[in-house]
Amino acid sequence: MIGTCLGGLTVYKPTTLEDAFAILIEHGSDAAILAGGTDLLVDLRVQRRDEHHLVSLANITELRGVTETENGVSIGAATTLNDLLHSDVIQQNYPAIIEATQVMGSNQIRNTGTIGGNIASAVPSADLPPVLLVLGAEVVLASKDGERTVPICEFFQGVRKTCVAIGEIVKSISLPNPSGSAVYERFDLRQGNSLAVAAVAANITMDGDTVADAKVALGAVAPTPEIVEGVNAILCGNTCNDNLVHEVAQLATQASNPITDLRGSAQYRRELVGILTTRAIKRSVEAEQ
Amino acid sequence: MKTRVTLHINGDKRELLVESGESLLDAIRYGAGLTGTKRACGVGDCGACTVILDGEPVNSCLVLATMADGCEVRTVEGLAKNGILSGVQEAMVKEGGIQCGFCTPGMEMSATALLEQNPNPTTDEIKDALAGNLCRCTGYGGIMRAMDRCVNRNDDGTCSKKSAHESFEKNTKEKHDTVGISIPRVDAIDKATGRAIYTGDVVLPNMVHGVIVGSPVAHGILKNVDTSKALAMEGVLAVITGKDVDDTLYGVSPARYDEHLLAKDKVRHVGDPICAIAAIDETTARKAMDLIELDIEELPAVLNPEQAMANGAPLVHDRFANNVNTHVNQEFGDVEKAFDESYMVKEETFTGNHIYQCPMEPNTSVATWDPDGTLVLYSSTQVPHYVQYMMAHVLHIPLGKIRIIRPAVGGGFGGKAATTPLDICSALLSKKIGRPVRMEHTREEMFKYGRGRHKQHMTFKVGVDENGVIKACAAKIYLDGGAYSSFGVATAYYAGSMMPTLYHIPNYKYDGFRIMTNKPACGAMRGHGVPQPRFAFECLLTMVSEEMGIDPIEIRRRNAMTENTMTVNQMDIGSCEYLATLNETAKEANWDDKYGTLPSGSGIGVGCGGFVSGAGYCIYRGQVQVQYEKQPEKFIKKSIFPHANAIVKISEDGTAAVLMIGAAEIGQGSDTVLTQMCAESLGISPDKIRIRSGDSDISPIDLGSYSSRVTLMGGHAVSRAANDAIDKMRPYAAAMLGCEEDAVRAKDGKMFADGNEVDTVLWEEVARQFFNENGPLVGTGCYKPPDGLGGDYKGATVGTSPAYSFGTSVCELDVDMETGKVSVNKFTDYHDCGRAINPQAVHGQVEGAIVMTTGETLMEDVCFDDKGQLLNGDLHGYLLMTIKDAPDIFSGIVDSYEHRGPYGAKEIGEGSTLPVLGAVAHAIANATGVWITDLPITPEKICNAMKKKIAKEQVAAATS
Repeated sequence: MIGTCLGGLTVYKPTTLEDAFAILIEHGSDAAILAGGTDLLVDLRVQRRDEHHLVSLANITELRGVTETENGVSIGAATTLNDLLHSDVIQQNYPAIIEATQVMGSNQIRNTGTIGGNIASAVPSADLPPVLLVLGAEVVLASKDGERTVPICEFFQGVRKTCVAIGEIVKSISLPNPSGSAVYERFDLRQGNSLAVAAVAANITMDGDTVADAKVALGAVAPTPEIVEGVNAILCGNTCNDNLVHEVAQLATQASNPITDLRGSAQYRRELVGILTTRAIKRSVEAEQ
Repeated sequence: MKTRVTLHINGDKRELLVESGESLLDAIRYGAGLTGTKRACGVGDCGACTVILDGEPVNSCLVLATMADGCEVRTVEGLAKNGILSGVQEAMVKEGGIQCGFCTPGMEMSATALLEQNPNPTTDEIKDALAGNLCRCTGYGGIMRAMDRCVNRNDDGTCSKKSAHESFEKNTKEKHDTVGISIPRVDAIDKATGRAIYTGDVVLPNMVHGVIVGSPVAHGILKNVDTSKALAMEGVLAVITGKDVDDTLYGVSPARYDEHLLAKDKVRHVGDPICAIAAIDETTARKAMDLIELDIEELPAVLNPEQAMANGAPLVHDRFANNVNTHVNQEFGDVEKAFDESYMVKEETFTGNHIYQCPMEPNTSVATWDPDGTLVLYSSTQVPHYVQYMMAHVLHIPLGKIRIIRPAVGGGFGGKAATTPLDICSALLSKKIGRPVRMEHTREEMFKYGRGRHKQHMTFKVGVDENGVIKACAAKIYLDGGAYSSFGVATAYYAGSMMPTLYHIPNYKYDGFRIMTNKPACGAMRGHGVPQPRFAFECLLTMVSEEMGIDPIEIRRRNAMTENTMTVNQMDIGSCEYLATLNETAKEANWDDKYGTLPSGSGIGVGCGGFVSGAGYCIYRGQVQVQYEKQPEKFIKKSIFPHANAIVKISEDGTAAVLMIGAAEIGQGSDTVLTQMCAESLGISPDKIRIRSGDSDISPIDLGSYSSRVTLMGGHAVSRAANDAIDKMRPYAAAMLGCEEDAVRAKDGKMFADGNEVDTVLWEEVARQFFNENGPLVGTGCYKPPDGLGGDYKGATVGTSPAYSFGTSVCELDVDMETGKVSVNKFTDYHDCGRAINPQAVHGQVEGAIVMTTGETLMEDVCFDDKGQLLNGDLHGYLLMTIKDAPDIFSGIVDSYEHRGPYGAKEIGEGSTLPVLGAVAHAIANATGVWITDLPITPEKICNAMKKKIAKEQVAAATS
């Protein structure tokens, strides 16, 4: 046979979460969850990961889809990125999710890649996490012992590291009802099918002419996507003028902790954080007015 | 573990036994045998493997076959119904959306899915849907026109949007039936439907798979290779190392053969071939790679010319002192005196980048041996004859015992212009185990094999008089060559030799050094050696013009090359419409209105360039014969044998002609233009001609697709072969027409006496008459470049050619003045390619060159760490422009006729790259006020330069 297949793999296609938990527990650290596969299969192929037991979520139907809830929406972890783009409720209430999703990968990738995978892979340049951070999302994790809910800001623990324990599955992402106007600004080196070099999500809530609440989150400029602390202290209760925006941009720049790699130096990335933060806040404020 | 899956592929229910870890791509290609779906990266970066899975386009390399169990899968083979092309396919064929064809199936699947979901997409929606499908050939121009045709279909089926092409009708010097007409490519339908067979699609009975284990370090002494564990692995059939091969060295330039078939004593770059493994399947072969135990004493590596030339630096090859592979030292006229007499002299340094050709199709070889000892080698190559020559050299067998089959080739750009380790190792392994052996590079292995563009460190100095007329130019260039010579000697000469062909430069000096470093060898990429020096010179000339207050296009007019000129370095320029390309481009781009008037952040820039229409001399000396059997020959300024050869064989009933020529169709369209010239010369329709160019047993030698030689040289051979056949038909036609033999003309499938197109005889009837009396009607033709090309100095042959092309590009772009990000909006280009045999193919080359080279200028760079490890050997780290990045392009052809070319034709493929870099760099400078002289021009470099400029201005303001 020609072609290279991944050797020694066993693929499981459970139809219930319970069955999935059992397989995950049985194989422990040698098991991986297969959602869209757009990160996992690449990682296995380039030998960045070496699990042998892949537990597919494809046949667990409850994991896919966007459901409106009392407090907002619940997005099943196996919901594809194109599902998100085509979701009416996401388009209407969470346009920043659309902004972040439509710049991700290619159409082919968006047809298979999932929101759960985008956060569970914990790749620093992932596009959805900064937006989820400023929207105040929560991650619902399920295991045989039941469910637990983790604020998205506690989910990421390092490069490709999360708080998901062995035997646990990201079940869904909950978004509270929208408040403010979240936006996503990203810098990349190519117009199509590229990765973020630096990214900033902002969500400003205005009360008349003054800022009632402000959140800024960064992507691709630290080991994990992070909320910038102290933004409210600068903006809250004030009208949003250039000086204050500049102050927040500086704060964000200081909060970033980028690396130097082929896509840009740490210094340049810090500068981008400042530029993107300014743009994001201004656009968010404009959207509020 | 194997599982049984059911796939509904194009409506056929297929039950396949698949491995758990097997991709849907492999199941489709090798399980179901549908090889139209292509593998080009294997990790979801390129879209070549796109299929429609349950209605949605996906990368089939990133879907496990087992996960598609029960699904509907649609592949390119399912698009046409009952032999009728789908709308997308038809549009791709007619609008020139297809060149090498390797991205085509994936592109068509993405396009089909889009149009089914959204029959009237906007341009942005089209680009968004296709941005995951990389194309390296077309620049996306033909693809966008095809999409427009699908979306804006008029009643007559034509596209409602006007193509951004200059009409060709203004060329009135000759009228022809076939030549000068944009017929669809002769291979377009095969490529549109997935029927085209590429080397990777070749499956021979009993075939096994081979892989090459490359060096893990950049420089080291190879002490031992322990193959025992690999050999003991089940399914491994053979392992060969440097100990199993003789000491033969090979390469490209005969004076510099320096590559062992497999490493003997040293490894010189990461990926340097050490051993080759054959196994029953590719998975086993790749697994066995991990079992090869290498004992390598690592040596310090030299990774750039500066390091490599430093005192005491480790030598990459003992034979090249100071790691200097080649030193070129040329001076024509008296440069110093001319500088002294110049009104203005300006000197700048420039740095290029490492560019990899990145054809979509990976290098692939399949070797098998016939019982009579003939090697049959299928190779994805641009140069079947040189592969045959080199295989004879390394295997110590005559060329006659080697048959090279060149299936469809998925792009080359110089990356497939030499014999590869895959060619050699597949032949050696096949010989050893007596079975066909197939070998294919992964994308990363392609980068490690290299042969891309040399990174050049350049200093250019130019002197002009008070009118901006060039008095002298001096260039000093260090080329970073990588670990082997490859084409590098020629590259070093080319880097200098082309400068005086675009402008009249009365005094010229060139100092070139090709330096060995511990990186993959660099070779001959599109524009061979010239694009970076051309970038440097164009930037410098523009800087000079702007400092002198002369319009940058005007300064070029004042220095432009003119026809029938012998340059200072003895390049013999024939036709030259360079001035026309300047004038037409300036007019079309509204240069006079825009230049100098655009707001900050918007820029317009100009760049120019041209290239040879075929190298004047063969790469090796002497006749076609294994090198060690030949007497060493002194170089004489004359071709020993014809560089292009063709046979035209007419079918016995006269209704078809088979054109045989070994010219390599690699996507550039040579099969099509050769067919057109053959048809024109025979006087029959091109659809009556079948070209057979891919098999050395069938077709006579053509030296291959490099140095932009095929249209001119192959074209001559083809039209001469056709004329030979016509000459044989003359007596029969004359007898039937009752006219003189010389008066017989052939046109539209008829023969008639000159001046009387009413009384005709059928062409095929004349052919039948010939056959009845004489047997086969066959014409032969050949082409030798003119004798005596080039001067008498060292290296004078490089840059010689029967003809030269010329072109001008204007680039318009916007720069984000905060982040430095560049959006290239528009290109306007006029080219002098002589007479265009197929204008659509010319525009396709221009569009492809503009997008490829804009990417080269802005974002492409092969990077290595301080140990010589490759950092971006994939298509998400090494960025090719997507359809969203590609600018709108206006491509025009100026009226031109080259008397040394067939039907007046010259080249287009490489010359079209040369204006681009300078135009982009100038447009950025025009937008931002800063010149970036270091490629690629990344947003970060632009940003830093703008900051530096502001800081300088602030200091200046503070001190004044």
